[in-house]
Amino acid sequence: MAMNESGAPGGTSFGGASEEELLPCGRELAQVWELAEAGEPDPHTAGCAHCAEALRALRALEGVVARARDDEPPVPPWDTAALADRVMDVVRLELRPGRTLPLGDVDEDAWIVEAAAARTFRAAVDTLPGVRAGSCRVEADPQEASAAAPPPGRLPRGPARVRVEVQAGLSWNLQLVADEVRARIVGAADHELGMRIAAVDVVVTDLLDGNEDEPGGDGGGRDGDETDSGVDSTGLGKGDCGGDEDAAEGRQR
Amino acid sequence: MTDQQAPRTLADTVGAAVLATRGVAFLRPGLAELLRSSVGLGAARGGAGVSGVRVRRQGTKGLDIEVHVVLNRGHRALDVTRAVRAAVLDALLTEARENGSAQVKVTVTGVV
Repeated sequence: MAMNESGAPGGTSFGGASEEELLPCGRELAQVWELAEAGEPDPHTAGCAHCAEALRALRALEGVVARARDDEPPVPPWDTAALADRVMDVVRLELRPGRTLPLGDVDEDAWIVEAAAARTFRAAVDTLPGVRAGSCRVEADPQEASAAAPPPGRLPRGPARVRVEVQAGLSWNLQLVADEVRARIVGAADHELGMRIAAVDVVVTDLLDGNEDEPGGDGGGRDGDETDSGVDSTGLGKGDCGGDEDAAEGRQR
Repeated sequence: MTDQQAPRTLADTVGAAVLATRGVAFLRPGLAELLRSSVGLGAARGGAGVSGVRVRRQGTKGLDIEVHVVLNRGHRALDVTRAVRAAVLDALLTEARENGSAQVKVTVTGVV
């Protein structure tokens, strides 16, 4: 049951979320590491504190792995490879927190990583009975972002636009569930984070049947008159809240 | 780049001020700490600096401080970042006797 239409206003694409691991100086981490390991001279790296820190971390990694090998009894080669894979998994998790989003007013210097903000928004949506949050993305609102160029990897300071995918129970009115989701996200952004929100796009990707579809509590939003049409409800803005796109896609029918 | 790495003690001062701020759970673990925990090597062996804190002197422009923190749930992130900034500036003035200007960038990397 394909129900979603993107169609968010403002023309900002969510399809091009960068997988690059950028250092604050704008260099890709992998590039810095590769150049250093290849022994190629690089004038930028030689004078850049961020690149130097990245290389220091790489040396620390090499040292830790070497000590781990020394400390452990001899193991088959495949075990060593598994250890290296495990270590690199940790490194990747640390280095891929998503983009960094502004908190507070334009003249402040407070930020939050996208993964943390997305988790907060999804948790807020999940408090709605019979509603499950999926992919959540955050972007700068092109009409309200600060004119000043942000540091690499950070969104321009200004109100953000949130785009969230949800699955809702069959008995929800889809327009009303979109309104409820929007209200929860705006509330969480204000009360839990302190993030200014320009707009929230809600995409209903699927309908849930069975016991999961019972909106409880106040009974708001259920009249059962929407069953088979997708809803892309745009209200306040848009963005990429961190990384469970695959999971959301996997729940579609 | 002519930035000069600041002394370790300044980062210690900043780190202590951040950790004493209400709502802060811990400083973002550095790569070395993550690796040590991953391979079970125990406590830090020194020389790695203060994780989650970067202090640099920017010539005549004063200090450039970056702080990465993980917060406790139940605290408004923006309020905590403001408190962190105030605590850092206060600590620099009273403990490190840094009278120059300082730019403090606070980034929340997680909520636990």
